[in-house]
Amino acid sequence: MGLGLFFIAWKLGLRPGERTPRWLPVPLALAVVLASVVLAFAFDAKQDQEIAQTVRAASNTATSLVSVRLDARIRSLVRMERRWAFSGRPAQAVWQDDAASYCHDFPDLQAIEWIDGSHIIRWIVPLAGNEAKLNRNLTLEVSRKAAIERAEREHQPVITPMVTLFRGGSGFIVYVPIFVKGQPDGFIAATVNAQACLSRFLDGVAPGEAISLSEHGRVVFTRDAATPARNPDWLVDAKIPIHGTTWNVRMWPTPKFQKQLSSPLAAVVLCVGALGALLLGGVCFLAQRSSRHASETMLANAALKSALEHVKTLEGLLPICSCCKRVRDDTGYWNKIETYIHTHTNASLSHGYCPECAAKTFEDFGFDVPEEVQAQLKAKNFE
Amino acid sequence: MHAPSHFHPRRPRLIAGAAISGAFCALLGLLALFGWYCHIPQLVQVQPGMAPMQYNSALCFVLMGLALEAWTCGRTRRALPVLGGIVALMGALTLGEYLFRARLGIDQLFFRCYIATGSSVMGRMSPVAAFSFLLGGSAMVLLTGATGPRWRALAVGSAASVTISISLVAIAGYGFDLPGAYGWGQFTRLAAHSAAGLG
Repeated sequence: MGLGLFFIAWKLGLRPGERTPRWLPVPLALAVVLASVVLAFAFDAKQDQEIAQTVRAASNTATSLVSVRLDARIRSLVRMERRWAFSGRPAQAVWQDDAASYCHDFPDLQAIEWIDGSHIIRWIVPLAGNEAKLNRNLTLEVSRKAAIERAEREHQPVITPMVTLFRGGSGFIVYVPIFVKGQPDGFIAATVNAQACLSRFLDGVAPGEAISLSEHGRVVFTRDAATPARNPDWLVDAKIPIHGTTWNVRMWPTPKFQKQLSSPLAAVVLCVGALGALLLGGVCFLAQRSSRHASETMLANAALKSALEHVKTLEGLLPICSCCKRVRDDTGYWNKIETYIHTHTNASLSHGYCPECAAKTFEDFGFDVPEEVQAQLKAKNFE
Repeated sequence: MHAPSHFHPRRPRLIAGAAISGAFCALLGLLALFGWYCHIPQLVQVQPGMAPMQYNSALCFVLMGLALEAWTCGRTRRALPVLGGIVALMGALTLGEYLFRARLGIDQLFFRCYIATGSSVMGRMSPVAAFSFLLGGSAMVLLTGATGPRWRALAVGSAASVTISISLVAIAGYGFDLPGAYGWGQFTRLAAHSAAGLG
């Protein structure tokens, strides 16, 4: 379609004697500029898409890592509960030793507690810093009580929504119900500081990504989240469903990472396109002009050649009489010089007097030589 | 039949080029229309997963092809404004639908489309095609009559260059896997054979 229209435009734009229409540089430059703009946008879109894919992949990695690592901690607590269920309630010292080794292995666990059937914290490891929690009745805490009741009802570990921890900060508590021979024997609870735990989980994971983790709109963890995403397409939202609650993870590339991922290709294409359009248009214009000049020169040359063919020139030696100045032609006939010049050139002669002959003629006829002639004699503008 | 008034005996190649281009355009559109009616996806979308040539696009290709043929035959007084006008109107209305997020009912006015691959709205031609048809149709209307203003050739040439440029970029987009080159934003994408037809 475009080519057909172009042929028509070409046909309409031709002037007699020209091979290309004069306006040709304009659409050529326009086409190159448009192509480079569209290509630049396409490269930009492709790059945005690749960045979004990178963030999505990082988000998948981060969410699965958080799930797996949190699950590992919960499984450890479940193993502790299994031993309790199998062997019955252990001695406090034995349990505390066991719990201490867990706290050692998982430093992000702030405390491991045993809560009895009446929802009072009886044992706690480490005690240092958690003394205030000992013998605390959890039925007074709404969210904690709800989680405990749910864990008891479902016979499964349950994580509380984010709560303000007794030792300060925001975090969550994992409650694992204990059943000995089918009878409830309290709960093993692990208190986790969200910021410390998630920092540990995500340490070295997707280092170029900003992360914001929230629960029910409340942000509980952030990393490099001071600068928002430049492009909304780069925001990747994911959910981490874990034992009774769901965390929302939002990730986007940090400005530094954006810079690393960004390629100047789109800008280069745009610049090269603009420059190319300018060059193409200029070259086309100059080529047309030189072509026109060449045509004009050729026409002028042809005209000159044609004129030269009609010019008669005298060449070689002319035999001329020393006295009467007659000229001998090729046939041996002696012509008057006027006749000879008239015959052999396009020139014609008109007769007159030179100053010397004019003075002599005037004197021969007895007239005074006019002042005008005398002046010319004085000027000596003759041989 | 005598030669058209604008026929220049020394430039038969340009006329022939326009005629061949028109024939290709019309044939491409007709094949796609045939594909739509006879449920032959290869004619409509070349390969599964690729955007189809929408019914309206195919119709516009046929009309543009006929308009080009009409110009080469010298029938510029009636055929060009009618054929070009319809094509330009369809392009303008579709672009208007995109710009104002409107539904004017033209997308499936002539045919109920059944392939939605790469389409933002069922049956709506891509904005790339709509823009090109608007340019092409307007250029055809401008060519009405044997003579015209001096800038007419420049305007038609510019419209043609832009269309060719869009087409080449779209083809390059298919070649180098650059969806942004044949689909503007999240809107319907230009079919591969539509890109070839626009060029």
